[in-house]
Amino acid sequence: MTRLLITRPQHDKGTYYLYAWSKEIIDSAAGHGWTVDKSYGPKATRAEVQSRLEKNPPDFVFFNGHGSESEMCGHNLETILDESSSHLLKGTITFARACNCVVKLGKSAVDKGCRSFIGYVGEFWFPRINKFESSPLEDIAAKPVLEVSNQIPLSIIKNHTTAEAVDSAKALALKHISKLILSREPYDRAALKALSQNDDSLVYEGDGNAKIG
Amino acid sequence: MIEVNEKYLKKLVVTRLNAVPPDVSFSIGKYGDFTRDQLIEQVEKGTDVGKAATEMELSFLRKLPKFAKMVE
Repeated sequence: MTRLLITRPQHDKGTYYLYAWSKEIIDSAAGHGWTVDKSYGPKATRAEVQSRLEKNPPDFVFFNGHGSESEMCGHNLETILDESSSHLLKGTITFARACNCVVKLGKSAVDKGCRSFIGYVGEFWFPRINKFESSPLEDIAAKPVLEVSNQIPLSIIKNHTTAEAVDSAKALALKHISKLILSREPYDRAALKALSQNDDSLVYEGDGNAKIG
Repeated sequence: MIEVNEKYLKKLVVTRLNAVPPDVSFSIGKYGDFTRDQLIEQVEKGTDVGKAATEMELSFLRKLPKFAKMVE
């Protein structure tokens, strides 16, 4: 049985949006017959996540939240994984939808046996329109940016390789950019900046041919 | 010839941010959530967030010719 571990902290506006937008990934994995282990909200802690990684090693790990070059955070910015615990990602394909993580944490994980680690070398930006604070999926400014980052786990779940998943997200970013650049809608200007920034910063470490199955 | 210095860059970035509607906020990872006007303030003060916003804007402007070719 193929297994996904997903973290979805939910303690500020940014993580609230990532929480909402990551439901599509859970639905897709479940639809493909995967077992989905979820660390939600206050349960997205170091103890919970590391225990799941040790007891039920996943094939694919999808982190959502805040990060830095050397750590991934969970609920209330608790460090759930850092370079000292990166060996727990051994044998996985991992995607961190968070700032900077691939720089040191990703490299460290791959050095210790992680098959591939996808993430951002810089800040992960997304815009939001204030009136959609309680309905993130309807936010037209956030939508193209979060759709692009969702493209990565959706591709991995569909048995595409790591390199193909990243290429697919970059292709979708360019498709959105080429459409939005001609738009007269003021909200699209915010999405354009974030799409371009995140596209520059999206990379992977490890084996580009790594895929599930 | 326009002299490109820090003052000019800040003015450029602030002008472009002002083109974004005021009810838009940006989520910038661990830095947190910033309204358009708060982000403009960060740029003007030259904080780390302001520098990140400046770099994002410059990166976008540098890529504009590439984007323009895509829509030809």
